[in-house]
Amino acid sequence: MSKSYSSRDIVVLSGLEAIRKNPWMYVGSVSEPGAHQLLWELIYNSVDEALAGTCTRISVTLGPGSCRVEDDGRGIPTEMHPTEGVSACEVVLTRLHSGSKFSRDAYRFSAGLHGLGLSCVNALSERLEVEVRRGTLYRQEYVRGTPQGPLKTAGRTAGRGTTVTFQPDRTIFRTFKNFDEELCARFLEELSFLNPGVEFILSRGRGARPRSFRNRSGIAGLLARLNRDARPLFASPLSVRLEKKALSLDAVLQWTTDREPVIRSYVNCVNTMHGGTHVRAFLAGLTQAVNRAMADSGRLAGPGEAAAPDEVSEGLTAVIDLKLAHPNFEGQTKTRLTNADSSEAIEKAARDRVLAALKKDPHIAVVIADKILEVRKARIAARRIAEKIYFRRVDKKIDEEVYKEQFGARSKNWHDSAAWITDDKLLKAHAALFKPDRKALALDVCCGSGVVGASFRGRVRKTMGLDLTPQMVELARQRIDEVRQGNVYDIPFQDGMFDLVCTREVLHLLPWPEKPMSEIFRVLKPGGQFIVGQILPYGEADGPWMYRIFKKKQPLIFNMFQEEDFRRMLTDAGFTDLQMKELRVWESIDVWIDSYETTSLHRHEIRELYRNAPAEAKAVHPFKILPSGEIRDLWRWCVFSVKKPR
Amino acid sequence: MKKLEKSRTYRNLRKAFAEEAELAFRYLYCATLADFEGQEKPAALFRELAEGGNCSAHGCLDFLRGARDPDSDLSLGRTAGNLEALARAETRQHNQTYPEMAKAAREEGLPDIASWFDTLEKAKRRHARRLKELSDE
Repeated sequence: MSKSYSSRDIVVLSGLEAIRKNPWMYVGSVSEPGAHQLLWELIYNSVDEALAGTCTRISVTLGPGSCRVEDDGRGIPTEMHPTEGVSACEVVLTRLHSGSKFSRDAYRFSAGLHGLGLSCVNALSERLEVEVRRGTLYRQEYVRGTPQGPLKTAGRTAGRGTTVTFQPDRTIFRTFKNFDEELCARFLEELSFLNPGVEFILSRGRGARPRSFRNRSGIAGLLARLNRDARPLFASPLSVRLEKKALSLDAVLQWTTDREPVIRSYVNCVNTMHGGTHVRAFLAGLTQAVNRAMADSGRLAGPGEAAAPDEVSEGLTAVIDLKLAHPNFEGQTKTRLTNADSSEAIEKAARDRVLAALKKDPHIAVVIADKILEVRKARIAARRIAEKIYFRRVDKKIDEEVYKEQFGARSKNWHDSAAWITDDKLLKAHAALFKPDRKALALDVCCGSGVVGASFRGRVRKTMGLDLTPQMVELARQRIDEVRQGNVYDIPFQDGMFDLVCTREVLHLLPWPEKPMSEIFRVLKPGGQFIVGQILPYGEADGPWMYRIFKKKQPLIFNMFQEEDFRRMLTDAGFTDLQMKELRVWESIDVWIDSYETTSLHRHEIRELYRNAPAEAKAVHPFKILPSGEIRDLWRWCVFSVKKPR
Repeated sequence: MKKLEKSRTYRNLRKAFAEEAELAFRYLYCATLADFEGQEKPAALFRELAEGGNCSAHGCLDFLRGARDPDSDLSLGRTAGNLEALARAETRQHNQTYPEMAKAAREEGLPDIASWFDTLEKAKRRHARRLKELSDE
């Protein structure tokens, strides 16, 4: 790697106005994520110095609406540029497609946008100050990309490095307020695993204690972090390494008892959250290795039974750290790699190294094979659920077995299967709708683990529960006074027994909800209250989109109610005094879809639905796709209270 | 020469339009499935053909644009008229098509599909409203 990083390394291609005109083309969006993208670009520039082996410390300081990134790298060249008549530093900051990454002498691998990084940040900043330390201290200030004077010397300085302080331009990033500290922390921590030994520091201005991220464990440490709450199928992860002239691959992988694959891929330290050619090639090689090992040990009956990549990747946790001299990405924010030239080498390396490891340790081959056969069994079961529904539908009878099978399996980790189940705020919203009555008898129908019924504790004399699934009945007994097994279509209690009936997120799973509604009405005393919580679309606009997501997650969904439907259903059943409380609860979609009844194809389709959400749905329904690829959705919960007339 | 509206070719153009549009969406759907299987080449081909289908479907509309067919209400001309005609089409789906489909699905014991038609019905109601708001401006 060349140490003489000088003005000669900077190549000029064009000017800045284009960026301010079409900022989203360069940073993906003009909202919060776009402003953060500016910060990522600066950090990537420093990371490029670390990749070149010339930087050991990168620190990020967040201020109100601004940010400073400092590194101890070589410092941007400050000499006059041979053809531009200004300092090389100014060229890098003001000319589009300028920078050393066009001539390959200064960097072997680089993460930053190709010559867009610094100029892009500068163009989209209200103010930017650059400070370069190369024995001499240099400073220059910019306003919206325009220099407020030439690069000036400001005395001598020890050490080397670059410091950039900037404020994203609010006339462009209108909704931007501050940098998200947690997001930055996760970003830097991830980088600390990819650049072992380099220290990443995050601080929030004066007074606050800085957080330091430094890891010597590398991507193996990141893998262990990702598997923190999972149960691995074997002790030490497998690793795949490949070193070629324009390519360096380092990957670690392990299978766990989970289902949803967790695959983190990086190209020159950039998180390719939407994968791309490298991930596909890696999985293809892995699949070949696993199939070969399964065939050799006689676990597969015939050639038609070969495991598909999606079966092999169930429960897989992998970190793929690829360095490429000439990466090609889809879009400037680099979420997907498109290079096909390196696919073959990656596929072969993954196949050969993993196969060798499986041959060396046959025990690992056996547990992976078991996992794949289990996945296959679950998939057949999931399909059977869908088929069973349709066989029984015509006579309007519900096949209890379908529900028992699914919720029996899910009872094992019920409380971990979604955040809403135990969300305190949500439970309290249900309870708050009931005026405490020391004599009241309550019933929680389709009670699951009984959390809703239990939230009325102290407000009622006694709570009873009803659920179809024996395992759920057992769980509910830990929380509710008395629990019976039974069907909501035929509630096993006398007329007019209860002062309160509650249920939550159940009626959409029932093909003919009017019947259970009339059963609930029947068992209530005159004047008794029914409290029911339900996730509803925000309106007409996100209905079709939400319907598809929910139906793919849960084949037992029969109704995507909208608020007007739900109100009508309650009043049609004879209830009066309708009140509704609305709450918004963030849900992790990754956790929610990692579920027994959701096939890997459906999980893939759900992710695609979030990525390609129609504009009319996005306009009303908030959700986030984090830089790591995780999806969080702000669900609209409506908690209704109605009364049976006296 | 026969008037286009009365010709067999007119009906064929409408059929060709419907089939090309249908095929384009099928291609896009299949491309997502191919992505899942990691089948890169078929996925790319499907997307390319969908784009071509888009052009073919619009090519049919190029001819249909000249026709006047009150039965089909397929008005293609100035935007003011298009807004009204499209609002009528969405209203028809909302008032008639989807309620009928939902009813049939319930009668046939397919409540989840009925709920899908209900959902579309509401989306159509909103579309019609938005088109109408704009055309009233």
